[in-house]
Formats: sequence, structure tokens, C-alpha cells
Amino acid sequence: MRKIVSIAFLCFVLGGCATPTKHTSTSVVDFLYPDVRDPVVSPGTPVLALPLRVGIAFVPAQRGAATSFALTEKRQSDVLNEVANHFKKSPFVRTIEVIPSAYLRPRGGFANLDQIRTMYGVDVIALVSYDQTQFTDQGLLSIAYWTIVGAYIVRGQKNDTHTMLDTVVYDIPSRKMLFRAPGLSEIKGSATLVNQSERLRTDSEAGVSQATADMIKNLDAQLLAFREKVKERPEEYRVVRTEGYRGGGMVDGLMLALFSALLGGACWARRRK
Amino acid sequence: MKAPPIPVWTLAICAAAAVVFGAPQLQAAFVYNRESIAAGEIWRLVSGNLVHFSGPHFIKDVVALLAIGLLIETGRRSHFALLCLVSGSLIGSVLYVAEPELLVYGGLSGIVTAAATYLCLHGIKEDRAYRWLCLGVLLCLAVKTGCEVALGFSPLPGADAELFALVPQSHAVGAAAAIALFALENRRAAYDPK
Repeated sequence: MRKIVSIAFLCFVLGGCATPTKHTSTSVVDFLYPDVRDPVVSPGTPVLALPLRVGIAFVPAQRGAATSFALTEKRQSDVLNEVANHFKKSPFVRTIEVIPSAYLRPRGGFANLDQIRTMYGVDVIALVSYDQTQFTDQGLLSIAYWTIVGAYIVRGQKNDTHTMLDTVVYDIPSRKMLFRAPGLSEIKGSATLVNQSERLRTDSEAGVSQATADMIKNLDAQLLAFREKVKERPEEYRVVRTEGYRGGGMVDGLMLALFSALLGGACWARRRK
Repeated sequence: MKAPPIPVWTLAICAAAAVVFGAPQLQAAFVYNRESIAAGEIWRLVSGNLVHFSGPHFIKDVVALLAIGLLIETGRRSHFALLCLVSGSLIGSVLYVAEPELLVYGGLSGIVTAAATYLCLHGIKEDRAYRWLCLGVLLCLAVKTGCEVALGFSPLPGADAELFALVPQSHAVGAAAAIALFALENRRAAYDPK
């Protein structure tokens, strides 16, 4: 009996000493160009009808592939809504439709995007893919695991979580990539042996949040750069204005507050005179 | 004590905006429309500022212009009409040149920004507390407009996103027109002590 307990304990400790790496990812290339024997799709000249009707979706994971801890269906929907809300105010965008991942097939290709285009009435799609790797190493403190109690209280596990979210924007009819923007995050953390899986999940979620914020910042910059590119290269991108593209100058809440302060201040100053 | 002057131009512009808002035919004839301007209807460069696309759009712009215009005109600033005309036509012209994607534009907020900038620039010359208030408002307007132009849209709630996209360039051009007019006035005053 003592022999069995000793072997079990040894397995437990040696298992803890392993340095596992968890890698999850989805690929736009795998989704759009699933069959390498197919001829390469040659993109046409995109005709951008402003304001654009845009769809946004996560690239579906390959069947049977491991999925990220953090990117559950709900979390994916939250990330997409966060990006969509940020760009709803852009003068180039009329609507942004958040497309659930159930509507995209793994390796669906442009044929799948054509279906989405028909279903949602979008011309441009933003495809979000992710790549997350989590490394786990053991520090010197992990020697305390031999005491068993140490596995519960000593943070001997060192975790590195690297996350990349990447948005690629495609014009569906012309099959042309318009622009892309990545979002990166690196999180370092530590955990006890017992708490390890929970800690990895938390780091994974935090990595996705940070990468989303970084990606939105980069999307802003890439959108501005794309706007300039469209102006500079009219032969590559045709811009068509639709009836709905109108702009307005409107006084917002901040301006109203500033002007109220000014009105009050001026009345006060005149009364003092 | 002399009665303050009646803010004729402010009332006239607000009344014109109200008439245009209530008459769809006038809206169609006055709105900034790139294709119509290209066809020769150049009055739309200025008159587009009088057109509003929704009730909240109209109310916010007109209330702000009433407040600022009232302060400028009762403060006996003589160039308010000129400021409105210059900023209005500059906004239309700059949008025509710099925003080729923009088909239709409307709204008084560019002129309101011009008026507020002009009022604050004059306020800087007045007594201490009011001067600091004017400086603060100018700074806030500059930061806000700078952010809007850099981002290409306003991060603040307010615009009717379903109806139209906010064009922050109109605010920047309005502020620039006010600064130019203020500089010209100062230069003239330096040459003419009367």
C-alpha cells in the first residue's frame, strides 16, 4: 500500500514538473482558401458604396481543433459588439452586423461569405481570427510542492500568455482584402499548482481583453490609412456614394455644457460691470 | 443706461433655420448636395448650414447659436454677420474640396463653433475670472475638435448615427474662420487707433 501511495505521489509531482504549452488559433487563410488545389482567387477592383454595410464575424475554428478558454460564444459576441460599437459612428459605415459564428462553416471560403452577403445584405466583412499560446514553467518555489501543502499555497507555476487578435477586412464581391489590423497582448502571471487551470483561464480572458483594446486602436489607425489609400489610388478602389451618405454638423452634449458655462460667465461678468 | 442691441442676425439665422426645417421643399433646395453644387448651384455651399436632418439636430444647433449669438451681438461686436457668412461659406467650400465622399451635408454647428471661438477670443481680453473661463472653453473646444478630426468621427454621444455621420471638419473650419477674423480685427485696430 505504501508503495502505491509513493508512486502516486511521484506521478503527481513529476506531472506538475512538466512544462505544457497550450496553443489555440483560427486562421483566415484556412477559412478563405481551404483547398490548396483550387486556383488562386484573383481579386477584382472593389466598388465601395458609401456608407458601407459591414458584417463582422469570428473565423470558425477547424473541426476538432482545441478552442480558446476565453473565447466562448458569448465572449466572441461581446468582442464583436465592442468593435462594432466603436465603428458605428464612423461616417463610412451605415450598419455593422454582428454575425454569429454558427453562420460560418470551417473552411467555408468565399462561397460561405457570399451566403452571408445574401443573408445579411453586407458588402464588406471584417473577419476576426485569434492565436493564443500559453506557456507554463516551474520556478524555484515549486520545490515546495514536495510538502503537498506547498502545492496549495506556494505560487511555483510561472505562466506566459501571448494573444493575438487579427481583423482582416474583405470586400466580398471583389474578393479583395482592404486592410488588416492586429491586436497583441502578453501577460505574465504565477499560480499555485492547484490553482493553475483557473489562473490560466483568467490570463486567457485578460489576454483577449487587452488584445481587443489594442486591435480597436490599430483599426482606427488602419482605417485612416485606408482612407488615404483610397484617395491616392482611385484606379484600385472605386468609391460610389449612395443616397444615404450624408454628414451633419451637430452640437453635442460637451459643447452645450461649455456654452452654458460661457453664457453664465458672461452674464455674471456683465452684471459686475 | 443704454439698452442692449437686439440680436438681429442671431434671430434671423435661427428663424431661417426654423423655416427651412419646417419646409421639406426648402430643405431640398438649400441642402449641401455635392452633385448639385457641381452642376452650378453654388449657394448650397452656404445655405447647407441652415438645413437640419432631425428634431434633436435642429434644436441643439439652434439653441447653441441663440446663446452664443445673443452674447456676441449684445456685447456690441459688429462683425457677427460677417463671421457667419465667412465661416458658413468656408465650411461648404472646404468640405467640397477635402471630403469628396460626402454627398449631402447640413447643420449649423460649424457656424456655432466659429461664433463660440470668436466670443472666447474676445473674452480673453476681459477681466480675470471671465478671461480664464474663455481660455478654458477655447482649450476644451480645441482638444475636442482635434480628437474628432484625428479620429474621423466624434466619440461623444450626440450625433444621430442612423440619420447622418458627424463631420468634425466643419467644426475645425468654423474655428479657423473665427481665428482669422479675430486676427484681422486686431490688425486693423493696431493700424487705426480710433
